[in-house]
Amino acid sequence: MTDDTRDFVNMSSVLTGFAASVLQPATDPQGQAGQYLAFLTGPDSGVAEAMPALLDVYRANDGKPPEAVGQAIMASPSAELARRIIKLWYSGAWYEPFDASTGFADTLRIVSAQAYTSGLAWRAAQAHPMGYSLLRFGYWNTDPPALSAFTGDSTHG
Amino acid sequence: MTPKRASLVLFLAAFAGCGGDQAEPAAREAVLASATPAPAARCDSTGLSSAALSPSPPCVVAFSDPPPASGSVDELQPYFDAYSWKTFVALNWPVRPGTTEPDAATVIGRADAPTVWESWKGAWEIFLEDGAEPSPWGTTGELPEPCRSAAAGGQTHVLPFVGKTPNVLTAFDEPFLTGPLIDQAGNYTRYEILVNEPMFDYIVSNRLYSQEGQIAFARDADFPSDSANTQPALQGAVMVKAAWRVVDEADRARFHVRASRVYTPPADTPAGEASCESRLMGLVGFHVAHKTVGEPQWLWSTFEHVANAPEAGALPTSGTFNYFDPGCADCPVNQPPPRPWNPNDEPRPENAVQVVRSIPIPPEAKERTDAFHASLRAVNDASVWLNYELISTQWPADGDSPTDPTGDPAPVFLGNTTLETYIQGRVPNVLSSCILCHNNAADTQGRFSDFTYLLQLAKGGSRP
Repeated sequence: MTDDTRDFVNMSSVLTGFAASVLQPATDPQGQAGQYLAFLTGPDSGVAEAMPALLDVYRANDGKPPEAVGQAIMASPSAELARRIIKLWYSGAWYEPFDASTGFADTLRIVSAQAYTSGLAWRAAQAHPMGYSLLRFGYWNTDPPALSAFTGDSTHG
Repeated sequence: MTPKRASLVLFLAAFAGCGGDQAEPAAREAVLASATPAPAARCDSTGLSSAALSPSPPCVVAFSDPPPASGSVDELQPYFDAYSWKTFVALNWPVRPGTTEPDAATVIGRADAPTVWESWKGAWEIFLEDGAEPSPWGTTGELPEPCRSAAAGGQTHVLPFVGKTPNVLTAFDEPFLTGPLIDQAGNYTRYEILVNEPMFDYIVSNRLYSQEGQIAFARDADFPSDSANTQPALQGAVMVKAAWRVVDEADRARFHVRASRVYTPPADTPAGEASCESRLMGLVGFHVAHKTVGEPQWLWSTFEHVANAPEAGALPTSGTFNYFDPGCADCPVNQPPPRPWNPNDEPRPENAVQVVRSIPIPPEAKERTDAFHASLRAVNDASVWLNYELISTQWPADGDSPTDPTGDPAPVFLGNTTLETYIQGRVPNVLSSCILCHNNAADTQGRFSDFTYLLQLAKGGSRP
């Protein structure tokens, strides 16, 4: 794992509230974190040049409590990019920046088919993506696992 | 890090100091020495560096010799592939005549012979029309009616299926575009599914061989899991799915062959007429699924004959394949043959299926195949087993996940061109994944059947 990948995953953990081991498990067939980082630092995202500054803010605050790291990022010029990355993790969608002339972000795209099914929103809801479930027949007849099982963070649920 | 993944790391550390068989894979003397007849241990525990031929299957994946440097998929996959080849060797070891045990007096590859797994119980012997209790382990079940007279010659190897699970995927779920597979000679490929003794015992002791027994069972199936050399010995469930094509005497040098009774049930023919014909059959596809303590989603190994089909992409314009015509560049690939489907027809080469491999064989699987081929070549450089290659091994990266019952399989996609011809591809939960597909398996009552569709084959039977 490169330093950039490790820092991106740890920063994403602060931003999303999900454990780094959920975002990028040690044994990781899906490789979602690596795919997101490649997208963000590649030509299609439009933010490749802005990513180093965001990671630098994270690195400058690494070691502080997660809340303090998050506050530092949100107080920095990279805050907007951080918010878009949060949306990316939760929905698999890449939002274009807020447009003051129209009042809303008018374009978004799902980064990949896997990004949709890997969206953290489904895990936060202790559910599964619409149209895609790995759960067995009848799963709706029992309570879902605790939220902490989905987030990897024992402070949740 | 999830508990399972954390435990894997601890497991790796625990095995880091374990010695294994240090034999050089290509060293003839070492290979032959390791294959010297001796009482077979229940479990082979050699590590990654060993490609020795042993009649003992690995009970678990040995993360040793050397231990992996990390828990990444790339680091771990070779260990699973080594496990697969060791399993392939042990299950295809010549069986001691009249038993279900390997013949320690010989070595795999010296001559083609009936194998250990072929002595196991076939699905046709377990799930009987009337839901009756199957015959005991180690005995052959009553042959299908059309085969009884034909069996006078002593051949009892019955190949009953035209589809992999004809009464499950084709007539029950129908989630896939599936159909029969016709080879280049125009013959239908035949299939069989067999289980080992622990799996058979679980089915029999819980009366899961009949629908009434499954009603009384009234819970999810949970087949026994294998572990490494525990006392008392725990032995896990193993099932084999095999694909065979019709061959002739000249093919004996290239295929593992069996003189077989090829049974066609009445439901598989347009006229509804059962048949049973004597054929020399050559092995072309081989799945092994094995339930272990660390892999409740089972380990899935798949092998094929090397001449089955080329990989998609730059297709060859020459050569001989079992399921591909190099002279037909315009043939649609991986499409079921035209209807009507009738396995009792005369061979129709014009209906041959043009098969290509959609998911390439990973380089680490090829590397493991090369290592074990070297060991087999040291025994006999004309061994039929040199014509079989590992496609890959699928395993759960997070077998104990509380949120994902599939255990996050690695690799994500894996398929066998003879067993999943028409469901190859890269659409998750639909194509080319053993674990994701079998995660949906249920018994006749809709209860989870522990990654096997076999229990759906159960028919009637009296209530206990």
